[in-house]
Amino acid sequence: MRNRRLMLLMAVALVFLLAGSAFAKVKLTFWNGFTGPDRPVVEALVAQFNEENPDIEIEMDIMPWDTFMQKLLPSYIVGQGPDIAGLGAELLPRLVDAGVLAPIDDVFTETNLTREMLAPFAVDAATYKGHLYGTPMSNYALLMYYNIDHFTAAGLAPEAPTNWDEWLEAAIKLSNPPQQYGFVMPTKQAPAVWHLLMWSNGGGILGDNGEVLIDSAESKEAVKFWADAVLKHEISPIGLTGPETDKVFQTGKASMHIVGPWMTTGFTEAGLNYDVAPIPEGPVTRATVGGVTSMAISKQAGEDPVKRQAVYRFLEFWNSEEAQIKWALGANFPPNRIDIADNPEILAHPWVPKFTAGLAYARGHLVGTPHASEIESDIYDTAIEYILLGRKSVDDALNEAGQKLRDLLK
Amino acid sequence: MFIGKIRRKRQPIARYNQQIAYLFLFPSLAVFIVFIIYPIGFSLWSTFTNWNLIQSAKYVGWANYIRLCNDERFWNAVYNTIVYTIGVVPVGTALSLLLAVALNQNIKGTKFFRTVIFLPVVASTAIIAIVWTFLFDPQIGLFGYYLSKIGITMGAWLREPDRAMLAIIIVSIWKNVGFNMVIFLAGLQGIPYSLYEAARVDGANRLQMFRYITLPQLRPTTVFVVVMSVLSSFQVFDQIYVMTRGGPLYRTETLVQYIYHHGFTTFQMSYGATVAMFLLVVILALTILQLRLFDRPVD
Repeated sequence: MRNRRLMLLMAVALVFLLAGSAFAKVKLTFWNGFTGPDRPVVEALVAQFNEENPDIEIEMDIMPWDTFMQKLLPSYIVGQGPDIAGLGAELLPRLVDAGVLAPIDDVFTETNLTREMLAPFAVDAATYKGHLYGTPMSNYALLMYYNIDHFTAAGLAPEAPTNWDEWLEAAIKLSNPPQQYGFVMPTKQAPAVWHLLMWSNGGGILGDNGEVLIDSAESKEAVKFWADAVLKHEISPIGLTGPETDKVFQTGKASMHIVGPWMTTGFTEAGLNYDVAPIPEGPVTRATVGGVTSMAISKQAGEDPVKRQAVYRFLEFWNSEEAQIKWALGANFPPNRIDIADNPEILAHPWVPKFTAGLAYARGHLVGTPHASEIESDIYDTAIEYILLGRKSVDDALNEAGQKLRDLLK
Repeated sequence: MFIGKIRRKRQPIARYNQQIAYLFLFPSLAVFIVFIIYPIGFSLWSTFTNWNLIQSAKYVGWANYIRLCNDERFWNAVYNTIVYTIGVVPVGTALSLLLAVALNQNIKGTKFFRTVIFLPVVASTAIIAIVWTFLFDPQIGLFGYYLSKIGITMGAWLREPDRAMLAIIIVSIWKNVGFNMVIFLAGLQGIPYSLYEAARVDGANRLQMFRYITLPQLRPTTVFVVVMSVLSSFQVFDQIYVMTRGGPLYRTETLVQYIYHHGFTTFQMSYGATVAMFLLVVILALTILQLRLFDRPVD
């Protein structure tokens, strides 16, 4: 008899236990591509959130960005996508058109976040067809990295150039191929260095209203200027991908390099004596590429009020003052919160204030079009590759690119 | 009468046996249908639609196939695949045969060399491709470093449109030669020693023995190696994806690369599937052709 009562008690306890864990905990899946030195910072913040919110559990899956992008849309189509996706804002339009994301226009009324406290450019990049689809996970600007030792050895003042003429002159002076290249430039699969050069001369790939600019006189002039520098003065090796350019700079074989804040850790660990500086001003303007990783909610999670509430709590946490200071100091990224830029800890950081300053003249690369990845790989990269490999003139390559772009957007 | 009686008796047993057979076949048959037949059927259906993961699929008739005929980049991929196959199969087969013959002797150290040559086969292609990319890199790679020590500058093979495919072919041969060598070694073990003894009595030299005994006796092995190599060459993907992504200037973009591009960059699933159907038909035709050509008994 006693045994039976005990068993009953245990069974009841078990039921409660199971029910408790099943009902109280909202499980959220979260995918992103922060595989670099920033990974531990992301992991620490997610762990902190899980600890502070016992009723929510975020299961995070970090994978390389290219795997992530190839997996995300197909996963959503078969209903297996993550509740929260931390993805490049340029990918949002395609996913929105596919109907797999939920708009979050009410995030500023449902949470403590306000539009004003976030980097405006990061919020704009996540806005498509009049709706907001994400709050920023990270934002950055590309800046100029330069090797101070190379500058000193070449008899130059250890300061980055400030305009194109100075830039080209320094690049030529610093080049001694194949031992050393003045300014390592990517050819493909890289941050959009050539795009920012087009912008600096008043050109670009697509204008604000979707007009094709890649074959404009301004774009051609900019590309000619730098392609000549590569082909005639050998200021850069040819055919490199983004990671390859990073390695060239990291091994002390290049004097100048344009890349984002994520490389600071690697370059410092490699023992390079370097600094970062603003992108030199172009003939028309100063421009750089700004990147935004947005946190978007899947349509499934967005339609489930419990999950939606849980996701909003996480978005709020991620862009809280405390989390953003941790993020900035740990990952060397500018904080998403513009209202904490003058936090003393952030101001004292060697890199963060410089990258924050870069955001002032940053623009989004191929944001707001559902064809971003095709334009990137089949039009922009291809044109630059034809030019740098000497197989097509700048005029021919960019005219073709313009034609392809118009066909694609039709 | 007698025969009829037996038949009548046996039929139910035969049927029963058949049912049992199907029962045993069921698991693998189910896997085959779910993972092979259904996807192929689904792909075939999608080639007649404009399925792109964004809009719901609409029937478009033969539009994808017509686009295929006029698609320069597709024909470029066909050309590259053929170049790759011609580069890999004859050299790779000959090399693995030579290695097999060389290592089929009772000399010290053969086991060591067999292991060394077989090692790349069991290593992951993706990892091997990363290592070779590093070796080929002119700025930070090992080949470039050592060659520059003796005053030779090595170009950037993987970044030059005219040499990238050659680099990929070299890596592929290196990767697969061990597998083919082992197959040839097995073939060599199967040749009766008496044939060689008889030839020696008749005064044949080693070259003649190779030409008139080894080669003909190895015919079935060679057929197997060539067929498998051609099939795998037409489906090459990993090393190209890691080493060049089909570049520079699409010069290493093969058919599977192109299928992948449509599947996972532009998400034009139906067009990617159309290219895949083309590949399926070509591989099927090649296999039948090769089996017909080589399917003669050993003399």
